Amino acid sequence: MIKLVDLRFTHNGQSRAVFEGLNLEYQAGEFALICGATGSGKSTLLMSLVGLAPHTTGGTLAGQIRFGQGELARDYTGLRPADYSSMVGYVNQTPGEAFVAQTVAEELAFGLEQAAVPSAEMLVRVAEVAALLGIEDLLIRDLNTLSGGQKQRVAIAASMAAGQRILLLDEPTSELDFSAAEALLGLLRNLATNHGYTVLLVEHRLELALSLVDSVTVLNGFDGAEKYSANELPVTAFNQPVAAPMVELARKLGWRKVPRSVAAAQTLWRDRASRVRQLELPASSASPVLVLNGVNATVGKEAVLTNLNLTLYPSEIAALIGPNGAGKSTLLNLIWDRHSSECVLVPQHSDSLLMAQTVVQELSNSDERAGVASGTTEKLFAALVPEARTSGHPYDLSAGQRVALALAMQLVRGNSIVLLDEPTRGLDYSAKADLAALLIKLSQSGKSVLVASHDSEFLATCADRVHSLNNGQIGSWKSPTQALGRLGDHTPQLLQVTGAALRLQQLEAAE
Amino acid sequence: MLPHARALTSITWWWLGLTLAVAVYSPFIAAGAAAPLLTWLTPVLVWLCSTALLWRFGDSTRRLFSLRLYLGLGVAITLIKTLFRVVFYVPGLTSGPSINLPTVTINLGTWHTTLLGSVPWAVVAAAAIDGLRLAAVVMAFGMANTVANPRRLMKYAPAALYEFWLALAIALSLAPQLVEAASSVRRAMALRGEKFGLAALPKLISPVVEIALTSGLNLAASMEVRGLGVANDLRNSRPWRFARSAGTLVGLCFVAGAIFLLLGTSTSLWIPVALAILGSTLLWLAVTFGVAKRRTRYPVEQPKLGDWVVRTACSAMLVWTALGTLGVVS
Repeated sequence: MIKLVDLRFTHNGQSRAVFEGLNLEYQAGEFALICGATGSGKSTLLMSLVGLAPHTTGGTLAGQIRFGQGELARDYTGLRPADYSSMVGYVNQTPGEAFVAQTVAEELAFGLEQAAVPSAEMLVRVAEVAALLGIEDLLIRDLNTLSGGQKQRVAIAASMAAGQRILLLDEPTSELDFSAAEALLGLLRNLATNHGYTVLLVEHRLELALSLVDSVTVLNGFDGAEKYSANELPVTAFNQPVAAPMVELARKLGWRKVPRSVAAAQTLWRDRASRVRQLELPASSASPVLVLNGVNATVGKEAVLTNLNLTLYPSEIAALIGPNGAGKSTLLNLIWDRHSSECVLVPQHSDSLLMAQTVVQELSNSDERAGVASGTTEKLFAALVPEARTSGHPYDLSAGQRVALALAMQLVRGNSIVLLDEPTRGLDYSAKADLAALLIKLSQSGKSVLVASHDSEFLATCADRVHSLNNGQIGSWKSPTQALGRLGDHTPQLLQVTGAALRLQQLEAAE
Repeated sequence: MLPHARALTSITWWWLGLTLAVAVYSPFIAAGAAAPLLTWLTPVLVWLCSTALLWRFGDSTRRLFSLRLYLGLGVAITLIKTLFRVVFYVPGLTSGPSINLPTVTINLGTWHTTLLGSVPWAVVAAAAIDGLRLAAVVMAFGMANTVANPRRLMKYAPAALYEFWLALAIALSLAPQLVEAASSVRRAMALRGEKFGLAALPKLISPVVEIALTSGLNLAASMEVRGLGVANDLRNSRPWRFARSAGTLVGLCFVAGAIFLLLGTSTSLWIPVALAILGSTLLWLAVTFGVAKRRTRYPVEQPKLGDWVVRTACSAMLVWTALGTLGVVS
């Protein structure tokens, strides 16, 4: 269905290609996962398959892109995005920004209108695609009123309504909580298996997708790419120092293949059981740095936080978990509003903190604002992401590097409480591990860190205490293991497999 | 959901907005010299009417934001207009009771000018009325923009004008985005520990424009990926393309020129009318004969009885205003 021959993409003014020597093939009905480190060109690859790169990004695309079956296969290289629209649907990370209409039905119909499908037929096809994605009830709704998960479904429906058979999705789950993400990926599996769509999914949270996909393509930038069957994924496929939890577990215990599911891993674990050490947590003896007592908050007319109590201690990393809409951001903002002299907050869309024209400028502005020696922010930033180029525009950095930049700028101000709202959005495993290490260093230096996140895998690696926010109130737990172990499918996979270990360091080598 | 807005189709809402905007300049005003109350009353009434419609029929998640935006714009326009007229007042024919302000004289060698001075109340009032009228026009269009998404109008745009409409729709959706971007930048500056004051304004401009432009570009890219204009079967041979583009462009220029002359203090009224007729004819020709096949529309709204009543009333009002402006009726 898709055949790529020697595909290569280079940005203008750069000698090194984003990716090079890509020779890949995908069949009809295949659900393919594309992963790779930050900056390995995953998004650029998808954009080039729909003509957006180089059409909107600039740069040069070489090689060949062929879509279609057997005799009917056609060369699509070098066309404009609109020319791909009969064949390929594309959904990006934030569909809310890409909606073109006012209501769901009109959004689904946009592609059909462009293709001049007669009105009567249009009604039928909109109804069909809505039924396929389970959004029949939403058809008359205004797009602004949808939840994140609903928006993604509508975006997917809209991208395939005009009869496209290939779906390209760029991190569609990045703004969703675990259950919404799981439902969405299940839906994609169904589209591939039962309806023959070819689905290419860019997602670096391997733990979410591995059990559902047929194949895994690992992009290695200028080293080309390797494609593996999801059943036969060797541990050596990943050359980054830090990889998905399941890969890490396999590395640690010397397994050759990456287990595809928790159940498969459990079998392997039982066969070669190794001992689990107790999780070491910092002893909390100091007096609290922040006490919230009986806090209430409303958003619009709805009570979000009711009579909430929360205590933060120095030298600890506290996690705030809860489904989308539980009020995590509301709580962080409330803490910042009331205690802005003691806190810094890195907001969910941390890009909004970046305002200068170059990274260098941003770093020196930050030193100036904080009144610290010049170069301090830069040192912090370099500790987070050593490979980042500081000469360009902040938006030329990768998503993970931008989070690191925002974090560095906030940290340099030296306040004692650090609040982070979903900091792992768009970060790959290495960046997440770096972030975890940095937060641990911060807490050891006496700071109190509060992280709101639904990334339980990330929290497992660094949280000392977990607060769960539900129905406007905080439930606190004795240990992070206990708290994160209650999350069902959402429980960190290492804990699911071993039943006791939250972090890899707790495992003693096998035999 | 927008059950209220569906009371009328989006075309009717925009028609209503346009009529309200035009009503501010209706013959009532010309006759108003005799009844000064009317010169105040018409813009205020139009403003109130637009505001009420916006509030009653606007989507509840957006109406407060829109109301603040257009209210703020209106107040700013009125204040700035009045202030300019007072500061740069040139003593002239108007007499009567005045406010006495200190005169500021600026001397730059051979060139000198005076600011402020004794400004007649009548001048201040006229400036305020001018400002109010513009504020009412802004609110009328704001009402239409809030109640009926301008992007939906694109559906009805003829294929030859599609690109033009598209640019316009993206531009219109950019205005509220700019305000949203400004408030998010303001929040970000607070988070970074910066004071937000007048001195911060220049810093605001680049990120705000950047955010708004990025989202505009995202939108355009998304439309293109979804096949924008792929089936617009325009007559694409060279002479046809040239004739269509030229006809569209010249026609639009003529219409724009006509509006400009009508709103200004043109001496003759027949020139803008002739321009408008010529321009519309050119546009009609380009739109009708430049396209071989039309896009199809998703049948989302059908005009109902209410639509035809409102449209008829609006048309009558527009015709009457036009005739009044031309001096046919008074």
